[in-house]
Amino acid sequence: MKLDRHVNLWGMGKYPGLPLLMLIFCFSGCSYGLLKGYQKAEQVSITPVSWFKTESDHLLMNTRIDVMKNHFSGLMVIKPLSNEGYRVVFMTEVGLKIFDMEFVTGKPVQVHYLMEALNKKILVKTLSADMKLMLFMSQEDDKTVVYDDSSGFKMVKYKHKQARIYYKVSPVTCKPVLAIQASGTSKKARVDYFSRDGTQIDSVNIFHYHIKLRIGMHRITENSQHAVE
Amino acid sequence: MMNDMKCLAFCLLAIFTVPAWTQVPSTPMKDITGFKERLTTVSAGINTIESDFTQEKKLSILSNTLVSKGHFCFRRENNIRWEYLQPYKYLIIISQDKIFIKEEKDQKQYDIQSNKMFQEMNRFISGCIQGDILKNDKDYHIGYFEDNRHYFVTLIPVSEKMRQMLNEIQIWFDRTDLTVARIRMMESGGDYTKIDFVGKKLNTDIPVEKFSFK
Repeated sequence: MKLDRHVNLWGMGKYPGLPLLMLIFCFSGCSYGLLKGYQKAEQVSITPVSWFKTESDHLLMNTRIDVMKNHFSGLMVIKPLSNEGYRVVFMTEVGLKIFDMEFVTGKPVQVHYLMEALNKKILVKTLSADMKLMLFMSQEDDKTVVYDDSSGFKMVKYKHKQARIYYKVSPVTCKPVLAIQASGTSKKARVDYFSRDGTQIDSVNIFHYHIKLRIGMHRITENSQHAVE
Repeated sequence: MMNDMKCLAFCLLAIFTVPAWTQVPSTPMKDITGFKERLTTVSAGINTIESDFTQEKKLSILSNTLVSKGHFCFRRENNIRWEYLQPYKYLIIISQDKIFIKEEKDQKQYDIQSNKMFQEMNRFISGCIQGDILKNDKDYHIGYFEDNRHYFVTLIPVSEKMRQMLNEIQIWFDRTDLTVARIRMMESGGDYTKIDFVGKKLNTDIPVEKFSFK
């Protein structure tokens, strides 16, 4: 009787494929298989080039953040700094600031402003990690391994303590098309980059495997004007 | 010497040709009670407002201001439509207790009550437009000023939390019709958002469909 109940719970009777599906579902965030089809490259001196290191003063992205049941939309200003860092300001369309953070390699994230609704330690940590992953802010002491795939793309793996970050980069521009943050055996977050001409970023999607957090961005071509006052 | 004179003349010209519009009125308002009474009367007679707007966002980290333009509609009670047209298209409709956001590829609807930020934003924007915000002297220290073109009101939030977001709100009212001509939201650190309303039309027939979520 007990055995029957157990079997029914797992659906072995009616749905023999269910356990396999559940197993696939459980391991959908697993990082195993990330390097399937890749081989360790002989040439190891490749450094991804950030899409956000631009010659223009800043980039303006139409941005949407869905976190749990909250939705934030607005404009994200990404400004490269002279110290190889970035200032990232996210604000609503009507101009109210949501967050203002500064990222510099080797230094902790500096939060200049954070709206109260977002002021939760875990959320700040996750958002900062997402921005760092997207901007390409690797640590100086990261261990780097480069892999090749058959299509010519390179996968650059950075290892820092337990965390691993993978950037799939174009062999021509060295700009990433994909970034994955993993820890232990599981994938945590991925960033997909889209560009029509291969030189300028058009849109970015950030997806989390284990939490309800999605970020979508589209670059805006602006007609900025000099301040009057 | 001649060059110095030319330079001085140019500087004086530059100073005195700065339009009054860019200066903040600093003369204390003579008749605050009269202004408030007139504003209440005028606001009560306004059922709809339609206007173009230009929004400028000044961030200290940027050398340029971010400029966006669009069209604004208000219909009593609590129906607001912000339509951004440049440099990107974006639509926000706030109607009763709902907020609707339409982007180029996506549209979403939210309950204002479920989101504190939307709630505050709605209360603040409709309060500014309808002049109700001036009745709220519990939440703001209110200052009254004027010049020959505008009545100018400053609101400094009492709450520390609110001041972290906006440390001063400035509203310019047109002297002729007492409608809002400009709102400037000042943040700590000198950043601000300025919205200029131009080509205002009062009490035109704005169909209710403009505020429906379709």
